[in-house]
Amino acid sequence: MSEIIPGKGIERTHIRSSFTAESLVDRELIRSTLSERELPILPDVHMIKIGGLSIFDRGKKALFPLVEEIIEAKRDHKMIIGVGGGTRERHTYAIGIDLGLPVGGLAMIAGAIAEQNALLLQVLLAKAGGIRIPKEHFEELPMYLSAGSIPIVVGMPPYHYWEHPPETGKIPPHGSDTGVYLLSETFSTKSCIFVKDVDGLFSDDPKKNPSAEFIPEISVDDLIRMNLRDLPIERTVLEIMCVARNAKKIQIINGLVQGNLTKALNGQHVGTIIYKK
Amino acid sequence: MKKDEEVMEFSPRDEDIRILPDVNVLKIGGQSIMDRGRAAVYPLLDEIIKNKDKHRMIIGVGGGTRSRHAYSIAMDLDMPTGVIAKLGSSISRQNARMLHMLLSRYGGVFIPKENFDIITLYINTGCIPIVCGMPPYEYWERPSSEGRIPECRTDVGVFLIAEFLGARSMIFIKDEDGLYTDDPKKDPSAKLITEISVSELERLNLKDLIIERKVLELMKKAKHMRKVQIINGLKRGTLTAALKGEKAGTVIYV
Repeated sequence: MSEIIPGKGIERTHIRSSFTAESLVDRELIRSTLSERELPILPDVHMIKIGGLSIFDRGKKALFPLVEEIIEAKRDHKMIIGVGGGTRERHTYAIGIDLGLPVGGLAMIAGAIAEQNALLLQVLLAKAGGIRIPKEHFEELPMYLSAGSIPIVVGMPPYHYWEHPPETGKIPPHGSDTGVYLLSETFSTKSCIFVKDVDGLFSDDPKKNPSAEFIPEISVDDLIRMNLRDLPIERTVLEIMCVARNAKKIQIINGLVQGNLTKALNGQHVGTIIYKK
Repeated sequence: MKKDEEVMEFSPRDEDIRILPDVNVLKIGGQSIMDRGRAAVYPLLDEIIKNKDKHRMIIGVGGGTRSRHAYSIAMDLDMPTGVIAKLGSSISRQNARMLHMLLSRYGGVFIPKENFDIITLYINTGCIPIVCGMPPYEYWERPSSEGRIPECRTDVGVFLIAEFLGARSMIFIKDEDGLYTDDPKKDPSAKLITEISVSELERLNLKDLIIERKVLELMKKAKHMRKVQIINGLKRGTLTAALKGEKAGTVIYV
């Protein structure tokens, strides 16, 4: 029953609910809200992240084949594509940090680079229904998807001035991998695929260390325990994955190898799968 | 050309700049103040107006009972945390707009987050910017480690504004004298803690707290806001004392 309980004078006017007059900080109350069941919002849509540094900054050679593959895959799959920033984003951070900008300021300006990449991808995909969807229009996603469009979103989450201070260093901890992953978690998408320029996860950066070993599949707990020096994905994604309800599996694939994305969309294992036990 | 010393004065090297170092960030509670209506809100606003010429302020506002009701319905509908967080923003925005209307005559102005960049303009013209307390994470709110209530709510949102601005103070205005060993509304033997460090507070492992736990976590990593104050907005004079930097309520520090 949703009944209004009027308060006289300085008393509070409440609405009766399971949380009436409760402190939402109370541990027992918080635990009582735990549920493994969450409404799947876009369960037949694939969430794809295209890397800035790994794909966009390589230009035509990397993007054209990938774009063709996306257009081909559109016949069988619904997709939302999130894009990252890349080199210009790193440059922004370098200058911003040198100027002494706080982390919230860096987070606020960094998204502009992913916006550029989103525009580039939208233009490339326009003939196949690529559309740029700002977050204010997310409630319209079902319409665009059912019309056969490919929504393109900025990967960077809107933490903006409200970005959390990082544990170490000065880079905003919620980057574009995290933003795309969180959308997959909230919307319970069918998959979450990170398109990078390496075959997946290695025991070290394969570009610097040729003896680095490939890891085809690993649980998020094991991966955190390995405490790798370098990762092809933001650490914050792993941190969130530990408490995820919906996005319990992600795949990192090499977007420079043609056919990989199609296979991943079809549920095949072509890169590294990180999963929550 | 400016002299070198003047440039150096601008900000010490390797330190994050303070964007608005003389501004006080106030958080007005939803359930604790707004839901009490005129009897609680009017005297508090009166005190704010009286301090307006001596202290620059930004006011963030919480949600309260309508947020709780929306959360409760949304959870019954199996909504994920991201949707629940988005619902939370609406109520805190309503409350911010209410304060905007009440304070308009005195320069109170509601600033949506899209206009946050020009907050300095409002402050420099003697206005009191009023913002929605909820951080703008919405669908991007991280799933909570326990339960489904978003961990980053209005205390976190307003605290992070203070941290970003490198503000002079962060004052949480609630309806209790400060932090107690337990909820004083339920346990009358609960004791008031006037000053405590975040690590001590974590060691106490209190079942309930007067501010969101995430604020403590963020304080440890914060560059500027290493101290917050919690005061009773139902007692006249407390806000004035806190703005003067005097002891009032509870101070939590790192």
